[in-house]
Amino acid sequence: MTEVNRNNYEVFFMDYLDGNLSSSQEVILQSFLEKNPELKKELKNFEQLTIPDESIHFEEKKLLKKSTYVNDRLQSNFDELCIAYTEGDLTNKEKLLFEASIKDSVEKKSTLKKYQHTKLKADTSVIFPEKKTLKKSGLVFSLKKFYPSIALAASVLILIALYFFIPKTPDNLYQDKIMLSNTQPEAGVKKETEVQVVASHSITQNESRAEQTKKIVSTKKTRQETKITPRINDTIHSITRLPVRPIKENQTALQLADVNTLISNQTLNYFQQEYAQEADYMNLKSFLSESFNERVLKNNTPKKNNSVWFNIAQWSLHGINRITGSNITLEKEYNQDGEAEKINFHTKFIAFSTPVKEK
Amino acid sequence: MTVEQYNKSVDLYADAVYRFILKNINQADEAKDIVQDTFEKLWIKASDVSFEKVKSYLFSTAYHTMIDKIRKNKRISSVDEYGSLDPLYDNQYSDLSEVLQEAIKKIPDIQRSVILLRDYEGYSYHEIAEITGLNESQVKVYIYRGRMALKKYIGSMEVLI
Repeated sequence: MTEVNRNNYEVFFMDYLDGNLSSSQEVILQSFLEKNPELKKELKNFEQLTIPDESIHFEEKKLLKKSTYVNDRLQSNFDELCIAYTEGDLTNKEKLLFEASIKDSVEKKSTLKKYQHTKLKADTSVIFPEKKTLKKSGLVFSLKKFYPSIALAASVLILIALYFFIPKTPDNLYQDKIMLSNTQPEAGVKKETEVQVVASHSITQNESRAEQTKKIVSTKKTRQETKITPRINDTIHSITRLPVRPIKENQTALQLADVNTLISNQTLNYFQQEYAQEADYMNLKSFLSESFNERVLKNNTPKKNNSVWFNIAQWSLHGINRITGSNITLEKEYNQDGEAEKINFHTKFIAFSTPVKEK
Repeated sequence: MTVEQYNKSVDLYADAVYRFILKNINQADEAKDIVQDTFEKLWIKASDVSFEKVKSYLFSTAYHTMIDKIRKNKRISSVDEYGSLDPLYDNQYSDLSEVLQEAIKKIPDIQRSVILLRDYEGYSYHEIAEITGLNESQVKVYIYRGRMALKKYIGSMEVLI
């Protein structure tokens, strides 16, 4: 602002009173006031509004101040201060203040000295005489370090056991009902025929094995039902409690015309062969419960034909067969009384049999 | 911790632990037993204790073993038992350290323990709190009380020395 006029003179007045105007601006302001004497009076009034400086003081200033640790304790608890000094708890500033405060007092110095004398010094002549007995040789064994490895190994073993030793039974290995299709229903034949099939009836060549099979079949009460959706015009026939392998689509298109043929021919042979392989060994649960009964509970239940070691051997061979794709078999041969007579071992290259020792 | 580090710990700290316990209970045989127990415990936990922290582990274990033994023997003292420590004015002690050795026996167990840890091993309040299982304020209070009791026991320096 270089010019003063009636619109901005208040700003100039304020700056003038605050001493913020330059000398040239002051000259401009003076010439403006000469031309406008009524405003000169107004400026004078402005000057009178200045509040004079008064010497007013807060009387209780001391009350607001905080006393320092040293100042406070010098009067009230000198002993505590001496101990703090001895313990090295004071800051450098506090130390200097404390030292200055006791400089002229013999009594205070003496008290401090006494506290300083309470500092104990270790008697290094006292030594533990049997140090050699404490020393150890050997390894510090930390089981914790091996936890991950042990856990890993255990997991792998469990997985192997689950994979190889527990028979991999498909959900539909035993099914209560098999839906068989029939594309050409014949007159005189009921559309739904329920045929009761018992595994042992069908298996004639190996009676004892069939009995074994029945046992396993009877233990598996809860089985899932596999349904093959019948085609249009298909006739549904249900066969109960027949252990079967998964039925492929082309195997289901069997003629109902001769149900007897169905049971006695290829399909049943297929079931028999496949199922016999699975039934040759017990599952892990059965094995454990049987072993527990025999060894721990000393349960005198009638002894079963398959011994523990025989089962283990069969599991192992089954595992090997799965891995290598070979067909190594270990079977028991039974006499007419159903007692094990021989053990047959059969591979691609070698086969032998050995009589079962009587206990 | 390796076996070598364990054995090194024996060399470095067995004397200090023994001294600390001996000054606390004033019975050499019992102090030896406590040291033995302490190092046995360390050996069992050797794989879990690092060499850097072995000193405080040893003192802490030794302290708690000692407390257990004292409790078993029902010898633990309360502060009230040490209500009056009269200043010693006779001249049966020739120097200050002897007076102090006698004075330290007369203050309460807990005060003695914290002062010994502070003076012998130079532990901070925080470290003493960790070893003894007290909090820092308690450690500070026990040290202050202990020092005041020792100073009172020493009595008139002019008479003694």
